[in-house]
Amino acid sequence: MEDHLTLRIKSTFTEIPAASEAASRWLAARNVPLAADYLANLTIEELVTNCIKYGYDDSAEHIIIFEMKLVAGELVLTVTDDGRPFNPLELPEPDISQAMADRPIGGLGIHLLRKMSDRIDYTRTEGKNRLTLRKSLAVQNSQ
Amino acid sequence: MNLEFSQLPDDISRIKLNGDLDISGVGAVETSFFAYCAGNPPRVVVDLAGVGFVSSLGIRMLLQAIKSVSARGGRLVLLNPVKIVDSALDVSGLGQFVVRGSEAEASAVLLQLSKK
Repeated sequence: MEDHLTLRIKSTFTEIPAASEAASRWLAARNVPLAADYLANLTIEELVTNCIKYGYDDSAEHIIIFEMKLVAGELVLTVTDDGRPFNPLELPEPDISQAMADRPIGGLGIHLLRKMSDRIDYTRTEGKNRLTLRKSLAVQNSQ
Repeated sequence: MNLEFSQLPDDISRIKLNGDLDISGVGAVETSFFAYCAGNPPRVVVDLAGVGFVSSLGIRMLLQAIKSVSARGGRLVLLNPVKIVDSALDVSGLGQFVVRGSEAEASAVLLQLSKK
């Protein structure tokens, strides 16, 4: 049987800490390496925040679905939302080599997810955005 | 998330952050954090050894402080981040501000940078 966790997160900022705690508890019980736990928390914070801030045309409560599973030596994270179509992978990479005085303050969320994960895929199906992130469970030197 | 402030010799401000620099953590400390990035010119050591997680909001807070301190002719360094936080800082272009060592060594780096 596949080992997985599904969290249904309401589209309010106050839901984020509890979701992060639940994800970390689940991962800790499975001795998942720190880098994978970091990515799970980063995914919840960056994608749920983006979705709440920019994803909806109304003020109604929406549900963002966060799923985690351990498959073949990888942590696989999926975030599904019913917001307006948005493929974050189409965003340009920020130029982090710019002089500090010229660097914009924002735009780093998706960049961080790209760099801290091994692979990201986006699909839009049945009116929903779905972003899938993968991270190897092999312990690396960065931990 | 909490913040400890202390004054080091040579008018160097030391800000020690403990906890996670996520949406809750940044909200809890950012007002006092920016207030402590003071001085004329500001010289600031931000001790990150107690920070286990940083999101883009946390990176944004640190980046804004670096820019603000630099614009006033000062310098800011990030001291002893744990490895996973160090990786996040590095891929965000803040690796050049990371210093490893004691507070005294970080202060020496700040004073040296201030002469440039």
